[in-house]
Amino acid sequence: MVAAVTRATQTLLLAITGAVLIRMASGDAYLRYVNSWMRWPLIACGALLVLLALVDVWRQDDGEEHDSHVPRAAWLLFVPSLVFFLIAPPALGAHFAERAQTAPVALEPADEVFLPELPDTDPVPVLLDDLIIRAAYDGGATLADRRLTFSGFVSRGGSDRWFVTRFGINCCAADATVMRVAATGVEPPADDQWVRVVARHVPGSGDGGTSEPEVVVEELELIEPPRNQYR
Amino acid sequence: MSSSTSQETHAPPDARPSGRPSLQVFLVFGVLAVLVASQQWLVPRLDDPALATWSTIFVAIVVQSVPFLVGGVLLAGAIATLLSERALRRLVPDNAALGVPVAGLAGVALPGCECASVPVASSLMRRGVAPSVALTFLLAAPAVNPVVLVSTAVAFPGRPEIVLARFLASLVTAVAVGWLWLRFAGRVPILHRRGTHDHDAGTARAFLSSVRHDFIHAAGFLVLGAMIAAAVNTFVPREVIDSLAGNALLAVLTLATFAFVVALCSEADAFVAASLTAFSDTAKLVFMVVGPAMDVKLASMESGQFGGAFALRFVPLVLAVAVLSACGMGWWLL
Repeated sequence: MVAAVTRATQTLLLAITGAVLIRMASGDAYLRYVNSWMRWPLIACGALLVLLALVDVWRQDDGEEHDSHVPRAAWLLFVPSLVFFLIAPPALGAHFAERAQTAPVALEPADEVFLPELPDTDPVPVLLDDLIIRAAYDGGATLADRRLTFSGFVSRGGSDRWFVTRFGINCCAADATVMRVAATGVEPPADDQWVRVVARHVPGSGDGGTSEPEVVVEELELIEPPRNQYR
Repeated sequence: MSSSTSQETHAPPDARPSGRPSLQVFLVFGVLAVLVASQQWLVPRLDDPALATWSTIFVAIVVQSVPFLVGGVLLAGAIATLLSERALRRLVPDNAALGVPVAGLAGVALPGCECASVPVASSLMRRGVAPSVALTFLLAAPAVNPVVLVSTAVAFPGRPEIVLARFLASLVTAVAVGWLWLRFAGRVPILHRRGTHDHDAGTARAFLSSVRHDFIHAAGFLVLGAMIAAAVNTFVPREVIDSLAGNALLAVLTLATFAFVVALCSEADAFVAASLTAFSDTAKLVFMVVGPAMDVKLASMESGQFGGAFALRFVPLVLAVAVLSACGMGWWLL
């Protein structure tokens, strides 16, 4: 049996939770868990919790003890703060990518889709999700004979294939879907390593959005993870 | 955790003179200080890919939900302390049977996350709104609001019938549960946490007190639900779920269970539903109708807020009605 949470401990709970939210949102840490627009709601919410704790401290002498009984589950509110400090959860990586399912391409009827030509630079920078969509239509006609450059982290599949990978999130990391491109031509770096590659699309691979597009890598550069690792 | 203080009973804790914090808070503070101080030593020892994935998803669910929960307790506080009797009576019809569909439609106008609506529903009940009406609102608000419908339309491009089916199935679920509750469950005990405000205290004071109380009350259960949901997300591979897609009945039950245990935000679940390509449209619809109405996080919060006897009846009822309503709508529209 655990002890009931006393009023003073509740105040500590509010202050710590509020402080952790503010700490998370004032740096880049919150981007590992939620969308970028969550920054100001998180700061406002953290500030409110700290304010509630301060009001408690200020009113110490009012003797409000009679209404301080809360369920023992309130102890659990310490867990997220402790996990944040002690495990410092990283952005989702190769471990989850190997378990998650590939996000399917939401295919619209081909005649309603207009894919603009890629800009005329060489190699041409593309986003991983853009590449996957372009590969899904017309056998990747807009990618033909182009040197493409894009980035992502390294993950592996069932066989000896390796992937340039990114996660897309809509609300938070719990709904992450994986976007990946199978790479050949070079030895794969370690899992979770961020890379930028220059590569050519293998014609026909990834057509219809049912499987991952394949690319033949010509150049590979190890890079630092971007500020926001999700798309 | 610490059990060094003597409050094992349900007596009001801490009868000591006011103004002196109990021993407990110093102990907790000490433990936290030691843990944070030993962070450098602990972090490398907790370095495991599965644990890291679990903790990322767990923290993500909590961080995503807390601002919505705070929004909910603020609204609940406003209902508890600022809304006058007269205004409340004008907003909610006297007749509960009529109030149920009104509450269902009111959900369209109030975009909110499911965690926000639990304290709001509790606050409505404390102010004398019929439980069936408040529960209908609880089910409708996260499920049929414009934000959810727009995100569903984005996740299923060129399929407006899915958006319509989702809207109707969720609304039918909320209203049907409200009416069933009114008819059959009038005497099921619902724990009413005592309103925290002292009647002689000022409004601002009562408001802050209500917000504080409601937040601490609900947050622990939210964390519990997030821990379970993150574990399912991390340790159950998608292939296991996909392998059950072949049989129509099994597919529906699988996705209903999946929606219950992964506890996604209603604004995001359409994208996950769209990624479950192995399943039929009806099964995907079940996923999107069950999720906002009932999941492990909500069940945990509701049993904390309204009591175990309530949750034991309400949770299965909502699950059954949501699955039936989604299947019916899927058969009719998809």
